[in-house]
Amino acid sequence: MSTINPSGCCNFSHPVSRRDALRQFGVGFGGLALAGLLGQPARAEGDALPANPLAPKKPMLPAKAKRIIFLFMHGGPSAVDTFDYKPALADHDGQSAPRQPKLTFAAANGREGSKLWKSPWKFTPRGKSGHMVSELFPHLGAQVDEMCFLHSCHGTAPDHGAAVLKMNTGTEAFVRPSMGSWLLYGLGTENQNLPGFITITPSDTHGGVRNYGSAFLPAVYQGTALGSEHAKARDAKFRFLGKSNDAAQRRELDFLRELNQRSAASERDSELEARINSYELAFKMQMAAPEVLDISRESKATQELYGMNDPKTAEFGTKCLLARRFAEAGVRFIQVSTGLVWDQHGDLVKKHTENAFASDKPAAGLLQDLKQRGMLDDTLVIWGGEFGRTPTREGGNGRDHNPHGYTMWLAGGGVKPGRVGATDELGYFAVENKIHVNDLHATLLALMGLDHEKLTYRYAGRDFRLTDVAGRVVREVFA
Amino acid sequence: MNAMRWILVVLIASVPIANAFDALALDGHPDIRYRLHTPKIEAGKKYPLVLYLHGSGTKGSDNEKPMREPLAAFFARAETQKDFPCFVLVPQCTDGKDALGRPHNWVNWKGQSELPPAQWTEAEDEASEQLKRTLAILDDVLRNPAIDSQRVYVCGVSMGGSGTWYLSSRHAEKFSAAIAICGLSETRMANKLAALPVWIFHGEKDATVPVARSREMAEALKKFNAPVRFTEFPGAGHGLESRVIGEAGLLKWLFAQKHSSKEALSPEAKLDPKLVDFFETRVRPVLLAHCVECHGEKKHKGGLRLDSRTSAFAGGDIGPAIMAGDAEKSPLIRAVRYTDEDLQMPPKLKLPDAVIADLVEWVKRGAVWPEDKGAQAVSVGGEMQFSDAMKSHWSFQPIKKPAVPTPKNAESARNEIDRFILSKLDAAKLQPSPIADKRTLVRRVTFDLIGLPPSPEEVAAFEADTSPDAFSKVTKRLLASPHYGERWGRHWLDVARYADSNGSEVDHAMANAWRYRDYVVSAFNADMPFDQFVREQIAGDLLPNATGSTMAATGFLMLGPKALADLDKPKLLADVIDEQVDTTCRAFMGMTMGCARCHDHKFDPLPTADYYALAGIFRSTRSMDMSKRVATWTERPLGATDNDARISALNKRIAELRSERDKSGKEKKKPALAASAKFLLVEAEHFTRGNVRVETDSLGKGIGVIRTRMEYPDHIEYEFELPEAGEYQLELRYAAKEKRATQLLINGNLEDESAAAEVTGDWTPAAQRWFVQGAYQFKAGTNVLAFHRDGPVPIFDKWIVGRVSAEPHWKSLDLKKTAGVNKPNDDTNAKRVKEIDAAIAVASDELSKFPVVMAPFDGPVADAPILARGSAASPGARVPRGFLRIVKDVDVPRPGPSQSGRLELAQWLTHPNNPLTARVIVNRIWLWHFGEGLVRSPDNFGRRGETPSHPELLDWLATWFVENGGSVKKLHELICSSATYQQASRTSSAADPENRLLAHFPRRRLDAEALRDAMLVVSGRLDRSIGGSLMTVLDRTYANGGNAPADIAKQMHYDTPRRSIYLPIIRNGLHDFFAVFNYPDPGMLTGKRAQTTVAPQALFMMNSPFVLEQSKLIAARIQMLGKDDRERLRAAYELAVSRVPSEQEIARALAFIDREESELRAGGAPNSRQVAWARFCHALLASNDFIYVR
Repeated sequence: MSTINPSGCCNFSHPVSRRDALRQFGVGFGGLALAGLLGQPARAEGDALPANPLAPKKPMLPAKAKRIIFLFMHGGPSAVDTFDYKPALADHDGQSAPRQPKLTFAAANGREGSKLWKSPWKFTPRGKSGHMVSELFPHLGAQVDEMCFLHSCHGTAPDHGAAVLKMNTGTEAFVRPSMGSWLLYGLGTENQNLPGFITITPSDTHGGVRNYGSAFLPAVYQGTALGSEHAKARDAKFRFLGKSNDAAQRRELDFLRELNQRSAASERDSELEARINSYELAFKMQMAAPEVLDISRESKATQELYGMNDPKTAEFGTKCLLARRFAEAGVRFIQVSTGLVWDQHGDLVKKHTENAFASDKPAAGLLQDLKQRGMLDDTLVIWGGEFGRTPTREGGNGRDHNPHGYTMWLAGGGVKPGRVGATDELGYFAVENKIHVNDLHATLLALMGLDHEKLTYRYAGRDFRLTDVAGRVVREVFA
Repeated sequence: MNAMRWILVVLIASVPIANAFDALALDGHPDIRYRLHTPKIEAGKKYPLVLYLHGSGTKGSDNEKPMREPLAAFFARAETQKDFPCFVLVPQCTDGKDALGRPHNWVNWKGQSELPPAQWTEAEDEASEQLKRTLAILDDVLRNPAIDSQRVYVCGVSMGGSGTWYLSSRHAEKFSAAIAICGLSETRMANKLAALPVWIFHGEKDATVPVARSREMAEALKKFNAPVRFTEFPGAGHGLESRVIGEAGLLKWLFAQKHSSKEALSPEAKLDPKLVDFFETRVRPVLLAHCVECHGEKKHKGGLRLDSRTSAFAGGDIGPAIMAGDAEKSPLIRAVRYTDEDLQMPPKLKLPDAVIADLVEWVKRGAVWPEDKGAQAVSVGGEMQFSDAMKSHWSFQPIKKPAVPTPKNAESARNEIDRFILSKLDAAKLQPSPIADKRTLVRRVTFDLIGLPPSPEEVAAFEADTSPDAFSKVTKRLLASPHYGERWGRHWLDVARYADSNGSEVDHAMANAWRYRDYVVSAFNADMPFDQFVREQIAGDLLPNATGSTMAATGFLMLGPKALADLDKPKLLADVIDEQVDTTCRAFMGMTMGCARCHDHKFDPLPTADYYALAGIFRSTRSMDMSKRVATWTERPLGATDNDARISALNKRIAELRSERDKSGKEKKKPALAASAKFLLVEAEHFTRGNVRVETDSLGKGIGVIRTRMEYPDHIEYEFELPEAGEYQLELRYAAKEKRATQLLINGNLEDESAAAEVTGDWTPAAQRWFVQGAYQFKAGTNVLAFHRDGPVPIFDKWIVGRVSAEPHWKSLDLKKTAGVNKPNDDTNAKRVKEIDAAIAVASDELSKFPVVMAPFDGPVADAPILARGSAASPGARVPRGFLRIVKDVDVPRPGPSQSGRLELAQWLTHPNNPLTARVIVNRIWLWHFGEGLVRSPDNFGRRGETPSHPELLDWLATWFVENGGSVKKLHELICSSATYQQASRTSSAADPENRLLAHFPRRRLDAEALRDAMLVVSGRLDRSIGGSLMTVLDRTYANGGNAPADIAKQMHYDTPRRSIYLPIIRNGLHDFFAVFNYPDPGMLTGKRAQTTVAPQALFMMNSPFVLEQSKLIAARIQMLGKDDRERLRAAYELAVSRVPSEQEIARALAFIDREESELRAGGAPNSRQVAWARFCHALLASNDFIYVR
């Protein structure tokens, strides 16, 4: 298959001077801010940006993973129906939950009608570890020996908007940089011809662009959306990408270079040169992107592995396959969104079954594919929603939002398979080795070789972090 | 005896009470009314005051009922007054609901919507709106010199009894005694009442408030040796007034209570010295040794601090740590005992049993903890000490006008600015650049002042004008242009984080924000003095000469992004206030105040106390409406006073109609599913409650549907009866042209987020279709089915609730025969409801025609509590409203009790002795001219910001600006007339690579707006009309995300040829042009935009339909502007880059066009010459000459 060579994007000779270095790295897809040289810096209160803010940087700490793929289950899948097996729930089916949360989403939660509800799905031990997985996930169940289950995740916000923002930016209420933009800021990116942070079919609700925005970090670190939740994954495109290798455009760019020579020649000005070069790189990008987006080049077996042969799994399969191709091309952070499908206040049985079916095989296929390509070792895969669902019944056949205890899983990227933390015996509250969203962020950064307390950015008089003033690295997940 | 009392009560009730009380209103708040009885006053004498808090039965706004309550009347009656002349103050608790939807009450109890009153044991820390109003009234009334402030009493019955407990425990210093009659007490507050005489009354058989609540409180008070009396009437119920009135010695007891000095009021004065000693020897050392490391000054884990009394009792994230008197319930004791698994302290090692026993003993005996020295100081960690480095920081020093230096080559100076600049260049042995050529100059100043390129004619005119003041004439012409305000107003909008939508997680349209934008544009055009501009934005609604325009100015405070759906309303409020404090401080003073929310600022002299002093001002300003689940911002009608009257009349009319409709609706017979029937069919228009209208005429005879009235969220509720509990099937019939996923609630439970989400093709009856929505649990008896959507609902026609069945019930319907099934048989009522609905629709339509602006309301006034770690869950001591302590010599009084303090803040900010405001704004203006400020961190003038490159020039400009009346236009003229501004641009020398000394004019890339506008000018398409809104999305509905139409670009008219400033700024859906070309994040204040050179900009220039379209239009335009190709080329260059092409350039361009034409012709393309020209124009737009201004 045709792959993109992460470092072969520029046909320049080895950099020998700062200017050459600028040429080579300073004009990538995401950005080039030569401004620092020119007295017009994009800077935070005095700190000039480096010449190429996206050049790959050495991690602060030994890195376990080089890139992240976040499979974001928007809406909040139920933990007690998927990966967090709670036999006691069946014993207490129909009874009131003994402990009620302070802040709940649906008005009547905790009052009449919210009785414990045993999982409608059967759990069986899977893999060598025998981790109990519900019948919703036959394919992922086969991969449990790759996964580290975080059973004690918890947050504070019971509503989607705040919880999604919290998951992606570490804050519920303020304008703060997203997780991916922090990673780009800390690590740069390997392939300068592709965005370093790609979010596939992101939602425009629950914070929308803010979930992949850079806030006060320089704009070069913001995420690039591929399509939107309204579009089919296979139709998703980057914005304003022209035809690949268009001869007329090539001639026009050559003429543009002539037009610009007047100013460049007289001034030997690196910003103006950078502007000229940015057109060249955009042109190269137009060649690189379609290649990486073209999943038809994948073998039949690979396509089948991702469920591309079944219309019910093809949509999420396409997203997962694209994620792998981006990962392979050196993209630092890739987020894959399901769209807001997991929010079952009612009709849990039918809709959770559909959602699980649509995503099970593709996600399992992604893990297998990464493994067979030797990429799972340094690719961290994250699975989870913005919160989980209550073990109690909401109305007839739904479950309410539950930020108090839910399950996410990690795989690959230096993670030790197994399980960390636990909810209470009913799956309502995280009780053992609790992992707050801030802790999750601290851990992900640590796996990528970044110290969450040192990855700071000065803005409005103080140093900001992804983890605000909290966060604990959950060492137990480290291999 | 009983009969006697009864007669007495009747007599009291029949006295013309209204004559005994004056009807008054709180100063400045005609809506906050109260009654005051004034005794016969002898000159020089002082009289006590009784504050009477009524029970729940007389809530309202009539200002009549409460004074008729027996006890109020008792104090004011002539017999009482004869022996005990006193003032009697009777406020009234409002009827209806508060911002969080709870019924108004004197006290907000935790859990009050979930629990029965008997279980309300803990009040919220923040006083209710009602008590805040009452305190404001009390403070106001106490100004009367005839009132003896040493004899102020509070008395209340039932709900008022609870209020009495709350007030006396939270404000013990205000009162000399309290009478609490059958109220809800809080035993945890007993320690606060150790010194206050209280007489408690309760009936043994009280079914409303259990007598235990008074018994327990009396016990708790006795533990503190408090002067408490408790009278329990055996066999009595909740109505006790006559017995209390009959209690011998009550008046004598009450009016004898007096506190001789302030100290006497302090509970500590009465503290048992033995207990104090116990604390100091056995408890405090333990806390210091084992707790304070993690719960002290440096760390406050769990939000808890145990190093001062105030913070220890305020508690942490999980609530108060210590419940005085109750060791079992005190989390501190549970923690040290290792009772709970997740709360074990100290974490590493359990304390010795003897130590734990001491702590338990201490808590049991009332947790006596003497007030720490200086604990009244407002800061969490004590009063912040300013270091010398803080105090001597340059930006806090008074501004003195420096002498203008005389540089060596002073002859090249054109004004004072140049002398300052030259003397620094001299010192660095650098030379300024020569004056730029005329074409460069006129292009530079035109983009700079109006954000558009000069026309070829303007360039030619300036070239031809050889007079010495030619450039000055150009500057004056540009400053007089209405486009000047669009350019410079836009700069200010960056600071004001202007947007037309909320962003954040609920991106609702702020469809009236544009009135603030237009205000800013016109303020700049009118050269409004800057101090006035500041005052209007902070307090435009409070100014003596407030107008619609000054009201619109307060949009500045309103524009921040808010987490509207946050369910934690106190947190939401704290975050909104935080955003206002931070933005205001950074915008006007360059102070990063946001840092001080959680702790004293680490580098600048900004204590947390100062933060909350300012926060109190915004807390006393209402900018949010929290009554709905998704909160929203406040808006106010704009315009003349006669509009106000009309608007309030309309609002009143609508409220009356609604209430009548509710009553009519209630009288309807509920539809019921018969025990034998399979299903129940309900017509959509027969809803029980809702804010939608019924449509019966427009769709054809007999077809009734419901339609939105556009007062989102749409809400419809049905009540109906079911014979038994169980699962029932719900079927809905509706029409929908677009997907309108609606929330379905059954008996208050959200069952489905996206019910009725199908698209049926159209809105018409022909498109109505049946759907089985699903099966749900219902209960026996009355059920409530509700549809709720934050936007319009589908057009509902009917619905069915029936037994669960594989076959939908609707299939068995014969619609012709069953039309009207279960229709309530109340035709007259239905007719009346229909009339009411029509009347509501008419009134609502009229109301919507009055313009409104985003603006705050003033009050209710309340100082803000310090929030430990910034968390709304941990309020601590309150801080009086005020300003920054570091700023000296600004003679503005602290805000008084009747106003928020915004007006005072505005005066304080614009006071000539405030060293920050003038420096900050002249630096901003300098930055917007030169791309860099003299201080390169325009929003941070603190110690972590940058120091000024030319401090003397900055101060000289600041004084000059103030001397010139804060005229921004004069400052432009001064700057533009300097040689510094007019010099050529070139590359920087090695000696000054960042050009901080300004040895040349910095070349700049056009910003997003100027670049887009310039393309439209060159293509001849720019629509130069000024002002107004392009938003079509309804106010407070989704602008992006949610249920907004997906195609935001179309919805927002992003393809308009209007100037860029008028494009709606949708925070979660920015215009492409803005997103690509460094438009700042519109959710945050931005003093200086970033400038990047990134490949997406190149892609946009190469491929965006907008740029390609403009290229074509330019090509077509220049065909008309020249008779041959050379002339056309010259026209293109003059239009696009304000210069004449060289011969070489002409030759190259023609060669390109010829080659493209032949390539195109070879490919068989039509109009090949025209397309070739368009390619040339495209390249010209992408060229550096177009994108950069020299």
